Amino acid sequence: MADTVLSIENLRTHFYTRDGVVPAVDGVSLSVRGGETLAIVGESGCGKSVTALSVMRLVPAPGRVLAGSRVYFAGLDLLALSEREMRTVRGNKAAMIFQEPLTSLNPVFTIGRQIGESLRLHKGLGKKAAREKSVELLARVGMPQPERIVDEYPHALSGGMRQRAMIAMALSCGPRLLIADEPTTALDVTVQAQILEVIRELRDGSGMAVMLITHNLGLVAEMAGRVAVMYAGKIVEQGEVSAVFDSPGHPYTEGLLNSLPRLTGRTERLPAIPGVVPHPACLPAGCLFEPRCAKAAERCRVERPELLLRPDGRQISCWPQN
Amino acid sequence: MTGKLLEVRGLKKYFPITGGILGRTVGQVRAVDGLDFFVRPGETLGLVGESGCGKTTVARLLLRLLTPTAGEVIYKGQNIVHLRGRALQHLRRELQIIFQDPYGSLNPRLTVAEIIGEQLSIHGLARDRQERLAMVRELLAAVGLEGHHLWRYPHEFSGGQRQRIGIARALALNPQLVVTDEPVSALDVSIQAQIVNLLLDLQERYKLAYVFVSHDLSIVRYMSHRVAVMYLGKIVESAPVAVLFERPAHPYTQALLSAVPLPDPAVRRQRIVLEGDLPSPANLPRGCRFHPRCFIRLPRCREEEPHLHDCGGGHLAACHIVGGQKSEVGAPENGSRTESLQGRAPDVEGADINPRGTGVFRG
Repeated sequence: MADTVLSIENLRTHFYTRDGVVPAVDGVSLSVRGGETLAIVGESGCGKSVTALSVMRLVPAPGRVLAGSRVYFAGLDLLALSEREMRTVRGNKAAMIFQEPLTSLNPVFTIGRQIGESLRLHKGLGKKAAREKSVELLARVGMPQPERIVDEYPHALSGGMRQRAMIAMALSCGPRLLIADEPTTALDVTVQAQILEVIRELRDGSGMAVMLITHNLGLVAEMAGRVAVMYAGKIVEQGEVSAVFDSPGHPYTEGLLNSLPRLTGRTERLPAIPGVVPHPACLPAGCLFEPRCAKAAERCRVERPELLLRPDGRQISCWPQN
Repeated sequence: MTGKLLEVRGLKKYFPITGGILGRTVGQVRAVDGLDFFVRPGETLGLVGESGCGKTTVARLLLRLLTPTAGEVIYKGQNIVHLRGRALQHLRRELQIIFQDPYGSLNPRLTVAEIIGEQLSIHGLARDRQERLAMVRELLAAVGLEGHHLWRYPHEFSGGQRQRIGIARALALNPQLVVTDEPVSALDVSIQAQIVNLLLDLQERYKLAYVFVSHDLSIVRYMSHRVAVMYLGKIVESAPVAVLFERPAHPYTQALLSAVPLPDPAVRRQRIVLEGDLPSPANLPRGCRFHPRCFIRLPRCREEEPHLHDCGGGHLAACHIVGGQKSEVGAPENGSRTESLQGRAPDVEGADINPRGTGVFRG
């Protein structure tokens, strides 16, 4: 079993807004090993992206990571590093790719210069060497005509090509951890398939750990070994993908899986989860999912369940039923 | 279900590309390039394709929000392409649209009562304020909203609720055909299912016909009776929903279906990964539009554009290789098997037919 690359303990990131404190991430603990893909899945506003940003120390104001949170990466306590030290980690040993490649690329620099930037910064490469390495990286992520693309500006590239360029940039320094935040959500399915293949090959080839953040359960099933399901800032279920999909332990996981339209099988009415995600400023007192839960009992209304480890290695935060 | 509520013949929409200081037309984007399809009363036609294939343009053409460059849109036996004034206004009572973006498609300065009630006044369906409000209340109830929502503004609602308002607005005039342009793709999974169910309920209750435009194949499968797959402004395949998903004929449909990640870790499929990106609709490839990315192409595909032909049972495909035209086919360009693809699902075939061998993962 490979080493743990990233371990998060009791991460709490709250946003101090005018309308009150929003606990975007509230006590998340997880870990990712080398060569493994951990998927964090959940609906918008569940805190999956803020978890990723907290790891990279990129939480925007008015958000703050609270004291008592721990993020260990490759032997470093990331939250204790100075901003200067953090900059030697970010883009170097830990890299991140984002949902919308156009807004995360700088429109006034060529692709080559943007990939080369981190190589020159972290690896001390010269201009020429950085360019050569950029071409090599572009070829590695399957970019057609890398020698030409390296001198192009982002606007000249299609969505899929931009995401390839982003991946090339993220991989430039040989990271041990890749955080992919909805990497294919803006792309068409045929292009998504290409990008996923690139990420998978690179993970298997280099033993890099991947944290995949997505709302798409199909991607989780195809890409990840383990999955953490988030709801309203907390992990409600965590475990091996095959086990979780086979017999979801939390009613929310079960509801999500049931409400998905499928490509095969029956096409009767979808069993939808009623209601909406609670507003973060007025969360229910008991279990966060209780107002939407079909199995809710009296206890769920008053007492919030903890995320507990079950004998089979799965973590579920739900009161034992029956 | 007999007869045709809506029929489209040779529908085209070209957008000019202008250049230079004089704004001369220097080219054309062929967004929709010759479509033929029809919708029966009470039926859902799924229109599926990737971004840039022209599906939204089709939605707008059907409602005359855009005027076609060529072709006919025949609604209840009448060509509506040149309708104007009162006749067009009358038509819009029967044809309605639900938009993708529940945030951008509602006027933020109007209350729900005004958003839904406005058209009731315009079309003279409500005599006075009292009657109008009663009708709006009834519509809100039909889409699962409550009476006290009447006086709220769009920003006070969640995405799913806003989409319900958009649906109520579309239903207000009691239309027969509703074009839905990606109605659930901006919504979260748990809300998507609620809206999909609502659309199905309303169809049953009001005997609506839908043209359901989407990029999401799984939802199209749930919603549709028949499905047409678009690629670069053309329909490449159309069939009853079960046939299309069980036995896709066109290589593009096969690739599209195989590219959808399945939420089932126990299923390991062989996937067809297409090479390259969608070509620009301003600069279309010669011959078959799909041939630069096709994994079973023949030399002929570069020269000659295939037309939709019947593979039996209302299953149409535009491909030289599949569906009954095999006798004319020579040796495959890249030594691949062509027979194996005919009428087979992509998860069984397509393994060894990618020219660069990039087509498959997870055997």
